[in-house]
Order: sequence, then structure tokens, then C-alpha cells
Amino acid sequence: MSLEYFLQVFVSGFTRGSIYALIALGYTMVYGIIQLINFAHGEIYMIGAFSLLILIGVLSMLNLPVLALILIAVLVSILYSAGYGFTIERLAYRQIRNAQRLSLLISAIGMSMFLQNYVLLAQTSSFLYFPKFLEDIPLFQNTNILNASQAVIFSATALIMILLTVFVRYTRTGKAMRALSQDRTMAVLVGVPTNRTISITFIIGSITAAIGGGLVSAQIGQIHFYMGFIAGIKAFVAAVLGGIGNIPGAVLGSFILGLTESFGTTLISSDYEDVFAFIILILILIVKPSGLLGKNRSEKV
Amino acid sequence: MLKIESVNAGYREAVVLHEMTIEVNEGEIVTLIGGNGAGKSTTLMTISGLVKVFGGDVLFEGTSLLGVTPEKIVKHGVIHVPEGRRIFPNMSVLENLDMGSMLRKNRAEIDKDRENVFELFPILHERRNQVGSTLSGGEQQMLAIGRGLMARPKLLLLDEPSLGLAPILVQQIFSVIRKIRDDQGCTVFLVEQNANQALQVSDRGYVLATGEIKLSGESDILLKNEDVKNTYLGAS
Repeated sequence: MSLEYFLQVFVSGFTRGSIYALIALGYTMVYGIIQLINFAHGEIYMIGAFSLLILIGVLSMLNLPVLALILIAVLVSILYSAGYGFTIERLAYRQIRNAQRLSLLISAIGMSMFLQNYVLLAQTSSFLYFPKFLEDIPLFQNTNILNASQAVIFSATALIMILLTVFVRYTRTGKAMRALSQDRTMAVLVGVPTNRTISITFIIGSITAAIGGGLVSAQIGQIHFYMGFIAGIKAFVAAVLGGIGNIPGAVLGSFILGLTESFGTTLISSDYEDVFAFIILILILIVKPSGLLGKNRSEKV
Repeated sequence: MLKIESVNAGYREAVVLHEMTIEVNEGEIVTLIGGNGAGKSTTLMTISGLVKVFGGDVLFEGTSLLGVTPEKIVKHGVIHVPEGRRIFPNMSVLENLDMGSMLRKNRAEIDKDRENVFELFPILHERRNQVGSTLSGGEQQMLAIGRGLMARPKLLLLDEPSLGLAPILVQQIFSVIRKIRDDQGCTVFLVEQNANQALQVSDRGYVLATGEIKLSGESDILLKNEDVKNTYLGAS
């Protein structure tokens, strides 16, 4: 394998990892706060892509400049998807938040199936063409190592990570989120508004997932009602790999998964593209179930 | 200031508190003593809205706290420092203190109160950037009380602040409780198994057994009461 080829594979793995990270953040933040694996989260990614496509279609009738069109469509689709995240929590999780965890999990799976089928019925079962805003134009002459679409995905992901880190560390709501995830009863006793903070967590997770959905679609050029399922499962694996509930862990896990898939498909066979994630899942569950950066939770007396 | 009026409270089917009546007046330190499982913590959780009340009423400054969410009760100025300290383990000392002032806006006043807490507990200032889980038990207890004070409580509910601490620290904590009341005019409702020392710092006391108030009165009188001596103070 030549160095250039190696770097190409590396960069493409990193791109995949970025997208997984955008989805995994939502999984891990929600898990951190209410110990729920929100299986409907992958659907938000899919809804982000569908709503973006619809908005582009509608807005393109208005004769706007292309950049303005994309910007408005992206913003509205993000808000729309955030609305879904918010509503899912209100409808499917809030009432049973204190029930057994299994009830919540089943509710989440139900929500996921409902959303998939709703998009299937309301839209279509076939692949839809998505305008390729992010084209694979090489950024450097004489080499294919990094292209424009990858650069956009990296920068968008990096920006979101930075914003999120600042938010969680320094803002009042961010601190409230951390407090809730560390000790829910105590958070309530210092006056953290539980419901509002949980809603905000769902909204933030949905925003990043929708951005991921938009980016992927604009790079690949097609979308499908089922796209959220497999991407969601893989992002979930990434979150578990890094230690679910741990934000830096989710990012680390995503990059490891992205790179593994990228090198795995190149070195072994692209037929096994979807297998690597599950091999990783099984290995991590055997070797270190708490994840790479996760701490073993021990009850303190 | 606080009136608990013939309250029955508990968890699901289990009623823990029976017809409990307690009154705490402004500026007092009142102690609730009782053995394990008597319902001491449940009493405090009832006040802060964490436990279901089946009958009776809990009044704070004349308004009922029943059906009020715990976070609103915090806004009223009723601050609960729960058993086991419950320091946010992955937050620094400073961040833990900041969580205490979560609902307040005035930066200058918050900064002043933080200085106050550091004056009461200088060790917290030394440890200010250390993560909560790395503190010793005594330091965690100080931080828990400090975090409570950051909310500028009108009424501070303290659940077994002396539990598991070395005797010298126990003394320090009790003298701080006294100081909080004397200097800041904060009313304190204290729950303790360490009846002797708790009664010594408090004005009045209640004795709780199996969810019922058995005795109440001035602390000096309770300290001399034969039953209290035998059961809670260790007859000597």
C-alpha cells in the first residue's frame, strides 16, 4: 500500500468517523442523562436528510441565490429535526421515565419503527436522488488525499465538537446536564429543571444528527427511508466503544469505527462493510464493557 | 416558618411517616433525632418534595409545598443537603459550588457567598480545582454544606452531616452549623443520629421512632430526659 493510498483510506475513514460522531453524540448524551438507548435517534438523522431534500425542492421554486437557498434549507431542516427530537421525548419517553428501563427501550424501538414506516408511507420506499452539494473535488493538485466534501465534513464536525464542549463545560444548561447525568436526585435538589434540561439534551442531539444526515446525503447523493437504521446502529456501537454516556468517548469511538471500516473494506473486502461494527461491538463487550473511556460504575456508600 | 401538620408520607404502598407534626420557627436550629429507619431522611425528603404525601400539609412561610415540584421548593429557599453528601463526582469543587447557586442571577452576590463558604471551610479553597470524587469524606461534607449555602437558603435541611466523620470534624461541622445560623440568620432543621452533639447546638428537638414523633421540647430538657438518655444518648 503506497503512502498516498494509505492516506486516502485514512482520510475517508476519518470522514466516516465524523459522521458517526455527529450521531453518536446524541446517543451518548441522552444515555448519560436518562440511561436510555434512544433507538429512534438514527431516524432523526434520516429525517434531517429527508426534510433537507424537501426544503431544497420547495425553496428552489423561489429563485433564491444558491447559497442562500442551501443556508435556509439547512437551518430549517435542523430546526425541524430538533422539533422531532423534542416531540419524541415528550410523547414516548417522558411519561414512563421512571418506569423500568425495559419499558423505555421498547418505547424507543417502537418510535424508531413508527418513524421509518411513516417516512416510507409519506415519501417513498425507493432511493431518492439528493443534490450533491459536496463534490469530490480534490483540494490539492496531483493528489486525491483530501477532497472538498471531506474538508467540509471535517470542519463542520470540528466546529460542532468545539461548540458542544464549550456549551457543556461553561453554560448553565450545560452544567445542569452534567449534574443530571452524575446524580439526578441531587440535581433536582439544587434546582435543576429536569424536564427542560432533558428536552434540551434531545434537541441538541437531534441537531447534530440532522447535520450529519444532511452532510452524508450531500456527499453521497442519495437518501432512503432506511438510512437511519444502519447509521444509527453503527453510531450506537461507536458510543458503546467509547463508553456510553461519555462525550469524548463517543467521538473517539466514532473515529476508531470509521477508520476500522475504511481499512477493513480496503484490506479485506467491501462486502463486509457492515460487519466490522458488530465485530467491534462484540469485542468491546467481552473485553471492556464499560467502553474505552467509560468508568466502571461502582456504587459508593 | 416551616410547619409540618399531621403528615402521612412514604413510598408507594409503604407509609413511613404517621401523623407527623413539626414546627420550625425562623432563626431556630431544630434537631430531629431518631434511630436507623425511624423516618428521619423521609421527613426531609417530604419537605423538599421527593416523597409522596398521603395526608396532612407542609407549609413554608404560610404556603403549602404539597404538589410543588422540588425545583420550585428550592426557589422558595428551602435547601436540602441530603444524606451521603451527594457531591457531583466529576465536577470540581468550584463547579459543585456553582451548582448550588444554579437558580441565582446576581453574579456579585454569588461571588460574595463563595468567599463566605471559603472562609467557613478554608480547605475547600485549597481544593477548589480538585474533582469532587477525590475529596475526603469530611471535605465532601463541607462541600455539601457549602453548596447548600450557595443557594442563600432561608431554611437549610441537613441530613446527618456528622455521619462517618472523625470526632474532630464532627465538632467542626456542628460549630459551623451554629455559625451559619448566628452570622447569616439561616434557619436550620437538622436530622441526626449523633443526638448528643446535635441537641447541644440546637434550640429545640423532636424525637422520632418508627415514623412517629414520640417527644419534643427544648434541647436542654431533652438532653436530661431519661428515655432520651437511655435510647439515644447512651446512658452513662
